[in-house]
Amino acid sequence: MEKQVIQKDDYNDPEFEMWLRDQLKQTMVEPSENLSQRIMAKLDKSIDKSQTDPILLIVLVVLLMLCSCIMVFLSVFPELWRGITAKILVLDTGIDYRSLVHIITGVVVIGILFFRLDNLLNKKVGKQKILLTF
Amino acid sequence: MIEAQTDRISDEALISLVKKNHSGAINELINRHKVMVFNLALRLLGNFHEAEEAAQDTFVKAIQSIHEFRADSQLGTWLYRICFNTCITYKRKKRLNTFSLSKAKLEEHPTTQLLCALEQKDNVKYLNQALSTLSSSDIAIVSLFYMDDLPTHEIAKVIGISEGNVRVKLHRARNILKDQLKKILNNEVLNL
Repeated sequence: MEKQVIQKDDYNDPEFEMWLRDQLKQTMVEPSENLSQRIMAKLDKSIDKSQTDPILLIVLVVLLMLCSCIMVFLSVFPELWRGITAKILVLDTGIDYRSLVHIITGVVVIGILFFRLDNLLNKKVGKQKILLTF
Repeated sequence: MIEAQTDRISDEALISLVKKNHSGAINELINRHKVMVFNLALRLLGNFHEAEEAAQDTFVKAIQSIHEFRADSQLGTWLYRICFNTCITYKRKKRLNTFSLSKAKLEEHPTTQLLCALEQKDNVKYLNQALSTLSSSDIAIVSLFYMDDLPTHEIAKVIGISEGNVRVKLHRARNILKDQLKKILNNEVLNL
């Protein structure tokens, strides 16, 4: 309806309009038959890329839980128990626990950094597979 | 069974199914709009393979951001807008010549034989020549208005300009096409 009003207002050559519309419609081309399948495949690929690697997540969660347990153990349990467990784990003093926490935290932080870098590179480079993927 | 059901459902119902990652609905959405999206890309990029790439990117972007789709415009309009922006980015990146439908590239694909056959008709060839003088936004406006019969207020949403501006551009594009066709035909007559 609106288009008809516009046509009446603006078009001073309806014959040309009709010819133009017919010609343009004639030049319409069908895309490849497998275009839908290719789009679906591309969609599947991009979903895969955006998903977080579950193994990496499990490793990170386990390491973080281990860190938290050690921190809790250091703050809650008395010196005697710490000494006994240190001997069992072949660790000499409480300082070793702290260094252990530092190492694990460092590993987790570096892991997260690499994971973020991998994601960023995947987004930037797009179609190429990045070696940094865990 | 699911595929058959998605054939008849409305765009709104289709969108809600796509949001739930329903593969049949995604396929139906692509099938409903692929011809127009592809043809808009082909008009803007002038290359069959580039147009298919752009159409693929358009659908991937659209389906990935389907949650951002607001029902204030039609689904087709939203897809054309993504397609238009994708093609403009393609053109900027690859500096493609607008509507350079070179025969060599078209003949690479069997489907394009249809276009080649159509191009053999003089009027289509002249029309393509005339269209090549228009800007990207003017080509998009002309294509959407004449090929897809999209109303001017929807075209305005696709291009990102006002409806009044679309009408002005459409009027100007039509006059340019008319003048160009006259020039081309005059030259052809002189060359005979």
